[in-house]
Amino acid sequence: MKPFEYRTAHSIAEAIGAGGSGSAFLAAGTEVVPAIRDGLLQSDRLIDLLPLGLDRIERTDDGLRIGGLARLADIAVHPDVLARAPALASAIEQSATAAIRAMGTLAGNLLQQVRCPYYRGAAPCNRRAPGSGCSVARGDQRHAALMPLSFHCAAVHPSDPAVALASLDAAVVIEGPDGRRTVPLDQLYPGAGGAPGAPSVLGPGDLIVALDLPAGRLPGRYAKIRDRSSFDFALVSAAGGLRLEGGIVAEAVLALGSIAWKPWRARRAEALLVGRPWSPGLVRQAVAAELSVATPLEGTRFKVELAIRAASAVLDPEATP
Amino acid sequence: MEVRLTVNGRERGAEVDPRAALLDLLRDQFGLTGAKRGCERGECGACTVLVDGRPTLSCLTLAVANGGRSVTTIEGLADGDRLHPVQQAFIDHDALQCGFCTPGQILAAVACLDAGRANTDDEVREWMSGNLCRCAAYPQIVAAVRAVAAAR
Amino acid sequence: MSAVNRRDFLKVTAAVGGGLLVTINLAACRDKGAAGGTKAADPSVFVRINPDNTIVVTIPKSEMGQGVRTSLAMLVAEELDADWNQVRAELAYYDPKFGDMGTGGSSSVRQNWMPLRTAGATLRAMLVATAAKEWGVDAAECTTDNSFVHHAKGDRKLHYGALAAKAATQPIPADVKLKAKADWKLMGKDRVGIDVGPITHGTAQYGLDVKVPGMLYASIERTLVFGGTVKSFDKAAALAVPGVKDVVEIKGVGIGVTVHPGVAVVATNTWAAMKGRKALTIQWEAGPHAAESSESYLATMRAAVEKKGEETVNTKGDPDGVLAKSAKVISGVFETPFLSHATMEPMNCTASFKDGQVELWSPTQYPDMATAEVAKALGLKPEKVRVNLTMMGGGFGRRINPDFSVEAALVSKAIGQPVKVVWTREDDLRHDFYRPCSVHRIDASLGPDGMPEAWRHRVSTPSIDVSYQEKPPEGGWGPNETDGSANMSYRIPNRSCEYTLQASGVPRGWWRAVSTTHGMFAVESMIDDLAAAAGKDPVEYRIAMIDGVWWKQPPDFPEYPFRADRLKGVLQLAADKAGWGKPLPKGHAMGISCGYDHLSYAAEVFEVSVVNDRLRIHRVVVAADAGPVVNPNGARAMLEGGVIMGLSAALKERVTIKGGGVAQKNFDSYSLLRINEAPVVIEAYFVETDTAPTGFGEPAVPPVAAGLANAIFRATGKRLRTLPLDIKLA
Repeated sequence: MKPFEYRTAHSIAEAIGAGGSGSAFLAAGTEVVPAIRDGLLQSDRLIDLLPLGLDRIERTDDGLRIGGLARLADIAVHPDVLARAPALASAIEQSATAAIRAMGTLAGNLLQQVRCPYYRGAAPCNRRAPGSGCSVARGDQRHAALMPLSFHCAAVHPSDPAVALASLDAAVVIEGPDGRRTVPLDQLYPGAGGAPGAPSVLGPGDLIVALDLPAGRLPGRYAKIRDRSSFDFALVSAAGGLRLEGGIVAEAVLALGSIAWKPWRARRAEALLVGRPWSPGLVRQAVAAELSVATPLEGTRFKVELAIRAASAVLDPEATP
Repeated sequence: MEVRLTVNGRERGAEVDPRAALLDLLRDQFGLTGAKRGCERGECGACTVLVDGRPTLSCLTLAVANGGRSVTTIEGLADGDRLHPVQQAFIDHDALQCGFCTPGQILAAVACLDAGRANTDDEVREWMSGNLCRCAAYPQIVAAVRAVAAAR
Repeated sequence: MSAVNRRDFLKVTAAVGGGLLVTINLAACRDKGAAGGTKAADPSVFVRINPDNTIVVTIPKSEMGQGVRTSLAMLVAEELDADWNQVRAELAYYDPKFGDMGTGGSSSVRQNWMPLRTAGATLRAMLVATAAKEWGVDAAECTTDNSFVHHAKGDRKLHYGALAAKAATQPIPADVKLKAKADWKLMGKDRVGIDVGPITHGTAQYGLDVKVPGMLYASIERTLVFGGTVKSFDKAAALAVPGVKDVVEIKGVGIGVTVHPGVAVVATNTWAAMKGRKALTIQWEAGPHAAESSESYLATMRAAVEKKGEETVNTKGDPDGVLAKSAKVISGVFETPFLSHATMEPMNCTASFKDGQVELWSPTQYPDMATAEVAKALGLKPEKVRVNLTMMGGGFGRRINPDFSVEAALVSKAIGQPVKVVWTREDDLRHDFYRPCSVHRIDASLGPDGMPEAWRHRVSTPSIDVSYQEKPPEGGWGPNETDGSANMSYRIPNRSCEYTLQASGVPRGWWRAVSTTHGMFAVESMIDDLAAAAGKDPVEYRIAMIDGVWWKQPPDFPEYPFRADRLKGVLQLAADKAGWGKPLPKGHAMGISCGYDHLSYAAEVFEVSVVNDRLRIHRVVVAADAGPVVNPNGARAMLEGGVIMGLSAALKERVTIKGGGVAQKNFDSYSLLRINEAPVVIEAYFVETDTAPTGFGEPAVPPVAAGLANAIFRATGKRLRTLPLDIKLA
């Protein structure tokens, strides 16, 4: 039996050097510790990133930078976040529970594993056991994707903050063996044809050091529809907002959550909204158009209506943010 | 491997498996059984402790990852003989039945109050929703937390 | 009631270290039915008065959050005129001479009402006699208060602690007078639980917290298919885990106990035991139940209620004939799932086997049964088994079962060392003794006045009793499964209840309030449908039919006959307090239900609204009658807790059987009502009928599901007949 190793990283370079195959990064542990217990963690070396800090929230020349290891609860009450990105604060406050928000980091939340009921069971699951199949097609579809991106997996990405960040045009700052790069939030997750089992585009040794929120974006709101009124993943969520000029939509932003394995930036809907007089019917029409490309499973059709409902809540000029 | 941390104001060390949770260390090795093992998935909140003041599910954090940190368990919440106001409020409001979830409830309530998030009943209900109580002393728990908030 | 002879059940002796020890034989004076065939004639409850004036009551009942240690201590303290702040409760250990220590059926206060108060009054008389003698005055001139004997004229007082040693030599008075309710000082007033101190300090010791010298920890991989067995296993990988000491097979114990076959991994700490368990490779024999599922049970139960039941539990008049001739038959089919107890403290037990004896520290509700079954499983005489009670993180009926105690004893015997068997949440959810699933069909017809003429109720369940005995009880499997169905309280001239047994490999047990939790759902939903069909008010409709006993009452509790006035009393009180019939905010509607459970009466009103298919519960009013209330605070907690647990079951809980085992694993899939989902307003009211008290632990649970479904029906016009109700909370 291989001995299991735990070590702390004291610099980004050290973390990247120690990362890679056979290693897993550890932050708060809310995701990794149950995975160890379930035997789902393949690595036998944990690199604890928390000593790196990387938890500052600071203004930059062109916006706001949030450290990858900032705790969710700290982000949600930060004055700059509340002022510039209330959708993010709201998304966090509607996530998990107070204790998990207090423990969990933003990077950890963005990189969390799939919540599909089949992932933790013995039934076929391409993410747990690549090639074994996906049990959703003939199984429980309530939490499955409305817009499955591949035949391999019908799970949705469960993060609430990711949806808000997508609506805010956030960029993910990644450091890894090949240096530093920046990826738009909605491209953090592999698209259609991505390797089954890969939760993100991060490679071995890559770590999220920060999120950049550009200035000048609509602050937006976050609406979450779920079965239980707390401590539950979304059935559908929406982040975004709009700006009217004389009753005409001058600017519109919409990201939908829990409909795919990534936050779904609804650019088609946004384009349809802009330049038209705002009405609830227009929002409905725009969201319906966005989702018209979906080929939903029987058990996910109900999410179209929920998506319209969630989008309507954030794209309502009357509602207070 | 060895871990050294402060527990209830006292520095302590122990030899632990690197995969063992803080909860295992507290209960099995330090004999601090106030933190309860209820689900080991962060679903029930019975193992809640404070780590550097943060509400922490001790089943979801590795013991070794808490080196150098300061852990407060229910056993260390009172100031000598003087009960923490939340402990006193739970007594005054009889905010418990079997009491198994109570240490976790009290520490979650302390965190809720310290975060300034006990301003309305609904806020308390959301902030405490990670802590299950099967006996359902929920109305009394809300009342106890709100009473402490009102007194602050 | 004064027929109890004090000398038979009280014994007073000087305590070691000064003070006085009184021993009370409960078995000799409990009501006969509850004594359950106990023949022991030895003492069972201890009250010790120490020289420092503290009074310690040792109570042979299990505390699992229901407040029994508080209420029973209050019975003694009230009659003793004790200073409540000086009263302590002590955990008992099991000894057969203690009589029935089983805790369940909302029975603790009922069973102890006379003996504990009589003991307190007797002690008080002896302390007064001692003081009077000391002062050379007439005992009649002395009064008591707050653990002092006073002599008003002489302006003298002595505390009980100072009198106790001498009082022990006093003769025991043959007759004492118990206080009238108007004279109560402690009882009838709110008291917080006697254990709140240690609980809020985190020092209360639950079963899971027990540590004995040299103790190891064990985690057991049990068959996930009920009835499965271990074919073979490889323990090498488990033994290679650092800290793992041993791996032992558990053969399993059958019907009546249900220890599941499995493999135990024993280690120096919990973490290593669990890790070792993961490393096991086990080949299982699936056994005869592997193809069973919730769907397969439903299919046969649904078919069963379409025809005459295998057993007729009771019948009156000619319901079949009337229904056959009726122009309009109103029917409803009601379905409920298996439920898990899901106590916050998972099952566990610590056992130490040594030299042909075994000692256990068990969070059990029924140490009597644990002792007997441990003895049987280990081939020991019962006197070689000692069961210590621990604090319990909830019970709700789950801890009646001796499985976890027997399992720990088997492991300890196998390894020859003390061991704590720790269950994970997954173990606990997947190896419970489940509230049976059920299908009910009720057919009814109305007379010209709109009142029911005929009522035929067919029930099919996997019976609980089948998990404990091979042959049916006298009268068949039906009567115990149709509590709340066969004994529904409404006067209907032609009525019957039929029962058909469903075969199942799923172990069944007693879940808080037991069979009424599904029976009352069917009955009270159906009554509302009939009222609606008749165009009548649901409260008036019910009250018009509650006026006598319309079924044959079982002979178990002759002292506590069903009383129509008490059921009507709670129904009326709940309706009045809720403002039944008064205008409600737009979109709001009320539903009501009532029933008789474990000899107590409860009625509940739910005020709800449904917007966007989401349910809001604005207010719950519960009224209950269990006779005089000992500790209103504790009784309210039982009623509120009962309502919330009932709501949890009505809205969320469902155990699904798949491939002969339980599909749910943890609280993410077996979802309990959380604090944010509990109703903000629950009002509890009492009707205190002047009679011997019964209990509050269970009666608030069974009316919930129907009361809520009735409210939803009145808000939306939609009748939900399947539990959990197909509606989500806002």
